[in-house]
Amino acid sequence: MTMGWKYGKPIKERLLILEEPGKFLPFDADRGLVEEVSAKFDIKGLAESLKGKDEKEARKALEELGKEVMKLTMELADTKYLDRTGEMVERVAKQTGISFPHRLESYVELSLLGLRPTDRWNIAKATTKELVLQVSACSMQKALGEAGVEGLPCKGFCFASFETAAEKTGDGIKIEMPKALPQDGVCEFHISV
Amino acid sequence: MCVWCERYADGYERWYFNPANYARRLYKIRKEEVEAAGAEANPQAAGGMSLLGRDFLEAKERNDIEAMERMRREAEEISWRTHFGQVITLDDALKIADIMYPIAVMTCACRRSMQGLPDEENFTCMGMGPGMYKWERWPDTYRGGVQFLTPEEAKEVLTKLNKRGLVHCIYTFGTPYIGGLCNCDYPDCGGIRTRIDHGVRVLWKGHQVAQVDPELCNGCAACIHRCQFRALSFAPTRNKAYIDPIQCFGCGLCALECDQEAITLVERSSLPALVEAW
Repeated sequence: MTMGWKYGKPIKERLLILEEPGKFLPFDADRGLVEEVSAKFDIKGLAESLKGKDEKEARKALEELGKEVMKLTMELADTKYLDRTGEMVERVAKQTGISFPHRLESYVELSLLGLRPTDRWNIAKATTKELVLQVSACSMQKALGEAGVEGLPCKGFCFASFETAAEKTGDGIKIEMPKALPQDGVCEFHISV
Repeated sequence: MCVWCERYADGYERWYFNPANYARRLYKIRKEEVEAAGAEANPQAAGGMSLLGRDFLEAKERNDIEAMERMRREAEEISWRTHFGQVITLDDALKIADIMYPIAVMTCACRRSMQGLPDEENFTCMGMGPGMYKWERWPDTYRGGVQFLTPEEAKEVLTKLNKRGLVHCIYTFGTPYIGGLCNCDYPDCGGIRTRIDHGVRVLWKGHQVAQVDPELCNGCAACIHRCQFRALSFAPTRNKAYIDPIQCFGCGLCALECDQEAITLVERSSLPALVEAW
């Protein structure tokens, strides 16, 4: 904003204007992305295959899955199913020089919607220093529980998928998990830079 | 404590310091049919301007207290649920710039309607939070475009606007989600006007109240023009500034103008007569 007027004037070079007023812009996640990610990975099948394995082994398998799910999500989100929210997140990051939290958050959200579209989750904090994600109903944790896999090896899935997204966005992140399902009623991830 | 702090502060000093009130999901799965834009698509919604119609003014003219009361109550109920504001100080506005992202300057719908200001000279409102990534969804509101800022740039803009005498107000968009930080004055601002002229609480008072120390006031009267709420007057016989505590919204504009430091802000909750006067 410039001085010299009672109210504000924008800096012309940085002003984003409506490109085609009234034109429909796809801000929400594309159903195609959800269908492709859901079709490619089978949570229940994986949970069954982990039956009888110890937590360490299960965790390793889930870490691999987390990486794969995020890689596919990002590839689809950036190409075939590019949406306007994602485009604007990138444009704003370019304009302000601030990547975190929303470049990472957009991939995290799309991967959640893609693999587990019926899960219940919430973004509790999204500042330039910290992103807090709460997952209160998780189909992965439920499938593992039903298959009799003990502990919470799926923590490895979430951590690995977030880290894979952070590698792409270039955010050096640290992840903490102060609350976990089922005992706390929620898995809470504190992702900070 | 204000009712919004009781409901939404979640351990923070004030409800608008709680980062959860600025956080929101970026995505939901796209519906098959094209969705209509929300209520916030109407630029006249700013400040509750669209909540009071001619019927309210007519009831006021014929002094129909009962009808006015009913319409006021209805307008407040809608406003508090969907879109209301609260006055904040510059210090609080600067703190907010660090707990949410992104932030963008945009044109003010109130000044557009009150002054007919051209868009390029009307960049005083701030849109905040993830909803701003979807600004193009509301072409009427954002017809002038937007300019995204870093938190440091936002603080600079807020400080400049404060120097020019504008009051900072936060606004909800689906309470408790806070999506706007407006920089307002009377009579341009629909929120201030609706509250001051018609007594409808679409804009809440701030958490503090300004007080003058008559010993320190030198009678320069520099503070007088800063008040947007008709709270500040000048006692010519005593040659001192006077602040009506009932009328004060606690924006702090007067205090920042006083180089004698004769005006200070005190917590509303520390004054028994004002503790419920929001």
